[in-house]
Amino acid sequence: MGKTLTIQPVSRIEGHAKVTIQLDDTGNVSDTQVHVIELRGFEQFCLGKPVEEMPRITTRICGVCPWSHHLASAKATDAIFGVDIPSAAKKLRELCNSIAFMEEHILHFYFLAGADFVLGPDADYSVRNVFGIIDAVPDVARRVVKVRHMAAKMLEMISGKAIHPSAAVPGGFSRPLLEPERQELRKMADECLDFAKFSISFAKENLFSKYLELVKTLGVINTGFLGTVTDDGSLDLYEGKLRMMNADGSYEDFKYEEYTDYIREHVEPWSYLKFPYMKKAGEFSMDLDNPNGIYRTNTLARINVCDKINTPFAQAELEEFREKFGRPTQLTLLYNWARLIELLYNAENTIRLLDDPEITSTDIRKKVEPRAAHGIGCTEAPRGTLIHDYETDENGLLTNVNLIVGTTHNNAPINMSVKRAAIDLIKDGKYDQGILNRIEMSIRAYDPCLSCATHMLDGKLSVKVNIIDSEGNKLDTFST
Amino acid sequence: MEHLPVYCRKEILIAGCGNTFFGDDGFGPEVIQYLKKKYTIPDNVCLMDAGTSIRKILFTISLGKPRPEVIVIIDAVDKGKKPGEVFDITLEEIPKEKIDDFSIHQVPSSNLLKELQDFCALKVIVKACQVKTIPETMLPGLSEPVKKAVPLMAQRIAEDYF
Repeated sequence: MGKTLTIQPVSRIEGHAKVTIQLDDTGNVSDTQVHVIELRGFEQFCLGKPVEEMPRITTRICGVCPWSHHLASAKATDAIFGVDIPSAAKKLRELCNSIAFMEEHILHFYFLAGADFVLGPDADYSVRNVFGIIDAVPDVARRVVKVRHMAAKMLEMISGKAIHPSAAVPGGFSRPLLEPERQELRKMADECLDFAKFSISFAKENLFSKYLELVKTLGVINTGFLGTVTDDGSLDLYEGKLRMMNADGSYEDFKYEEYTDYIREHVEPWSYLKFPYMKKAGEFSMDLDNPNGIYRTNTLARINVCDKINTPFAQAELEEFREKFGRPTQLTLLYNWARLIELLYNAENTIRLLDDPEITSTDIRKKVEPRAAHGIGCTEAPRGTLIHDYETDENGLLTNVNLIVGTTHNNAPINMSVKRAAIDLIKDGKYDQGILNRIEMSIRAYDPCLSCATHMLDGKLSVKVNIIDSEGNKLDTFST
Repeated sequence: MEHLPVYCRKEILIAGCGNTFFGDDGFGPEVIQYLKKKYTIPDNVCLMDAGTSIRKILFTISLGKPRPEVIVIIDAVDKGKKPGEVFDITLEEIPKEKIDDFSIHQVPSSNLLKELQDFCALKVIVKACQVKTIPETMLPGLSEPVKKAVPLMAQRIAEDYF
C-alpha cells in the first residue's frame, strides 16, 4: 500500500510550504509536490493607488527582501513616469542593492545553508541554530557578526532607515550621500571585501571539498537559466538585459519590457503558485528525464548566464568555478558556491561605487508628472529575477499590477530537485531524519522566498512528516 | 559600537510586529505609530515598527554584543480570547519546535526569542492582542475591537517602560 510523506509546517498562516512525498507499494518514491502559498490579493489591493506609493508599499510585502522590492518597484515607477533618473541616483540605488545583497548572502550562507555544511546534514536540530554554528566555528562566527552588523549599518547610513526603506523615490533618490559618510562607508566596504574573500576561501577549503559527492548528486536536474547581464555580457545585479539560457548553453537576450514574449505561466491544480516556463518551449513539463521549458533563477543561474564578471576577484573565482564545473552547470548545491562568488562581486562593486566621484553628487532627483503608461521594473534579488509590471491611468493611478518574484521562477525547479533528491535517497520505504534533511537541503539551496503574508507569534511553525497510507490513514508522525 | 544599528544599542527595544496589509495583523505597527505620536520616548528606548522584518532584527541582535537588555514584542495573536483583549504571553507558552529553515523567511520569531532569552540572558516580553480576524487576501485596517486596544496597549507600554 503506498504511503505519503508530508513535510509540512503546521500553521498555514505562517508556514508557507508543504512538501509531499508519495511512495508506491514497493516503498520507492512515485511522486513529490512542493506546495507554496503565494501572497494573494496584492494586485487587487494595489489597484487605484497612486503609483508613486508602490516603492513604499512593496517593502512591506516581505520583511526579509525589502530592498529588492523597493528598487524593482522604483524602476517600474520611473518607467511609468517616463523619467531617466540622474546618474548619481542610479548609483546610490545600485549601492544599496549591493550592500543588501551582501547582508542577505552572508546570512543565508552562514546560518541557513551553511549549517548543512558546517554542522553536517545529519546534525540534530538542537544544534542547527545560530548558537550551534557560533559554537562550532567561533572565530568565523565573530567575523560574520561584525560584517553583518556593518552591512546593516551601511544601509541605515545611506538610506536613513534600518528597515522599510523609502530612499528610492519617484525621479531618483531621497538624499545625497555626504563625503564624511562616504569615507566611513568606504572603510566598512574594505572590511566587507576582506570578509568576502575569506568566506569563499574558507568554504572551498573546509566545506565544499568535504561534501563534493553530495554536491555532485543531490537534487541535480536539467534546466535552462535566467539572469541579468550588461550589454557586454557581464554579470549585473541591478540593471541590464535578461538572458534566457538553454540547458545546452545557447541563449537569447531580451529587454525587460519583452519578458512576456519569453515567459509564460503554467498552472497546476495542487498549487497556488504559478509555474513560469520558457514560452518558446510550447509545452510545460517537469518530467525529470524529459523536462520541457524549465529554467532557474537565483545565484547559480546568474553565474551560468554571464560571460564574465567585471570585478577582478569575483572574475578569478568565476574562472576557477567554470574550470571545475563547466558552463552551464546543473549541480543544485552549487547555488551556495555561486552565492559566495556574488558576495565577492557585491563587495567589489560597493567599493567601486563608493570610489566613484559622482556618488556624492547632489543631483539625485528629477521632477515627475503622472500619466497613463505601462512600466516594467526589473532587478536581480538575492533569490532571483524580480519583475514589477505596472499600468496606470492618466492620473497616475494603478490599473494593473503583476509581480514575478525570484522564487516563482524557481517553482518548477524546486519541485524537480525535491523529486530527484527523494527518488535517489528513499528506497524500499526506508528514510530517516538525515535523509529528510538532505531533501530539505535541495530546497534550501534555492533560498526560497515563501511569502511573508502574516507572521503571528503563535509558535505554530514546525515541520512534521506525516506518513499516510494510500487510503489516507495516518500511520506515523515524525518531526524533522 | 558605531557599526551597530540603532536597535542593538539601546537598553530597551520595543518592536511592533505584523503585516499592516492583513487586517488585525497590523496591530503591532499601529501601536508603535500611536506611541510615537502621543508619547515622549525616553533615550534608552528604541521604538520600532518592525513590520515583517522582526526575524532579521532578532537575528542580528542574536549574533553578538552589545544587545538590548529587554526586548518587548507587540503582536497580534489568536489564542481564542475575546477580540481586542490585551495580555502578556510568556515564551514558555510558545512551543519550540523544528523550524522550516529553508530560508530566513521561515525562521520563526518564537525560536529566536527563546534562544535570546536562554543563551543571552536577555529579558523577552511578548505583549499580545487577540485578533478578531486575519484576512486571507490583502485587506488593511484593524477591526473595531482591535483598534480600541491600540491606546490601551500603548498606555501599558508607557507605564512599564517609559
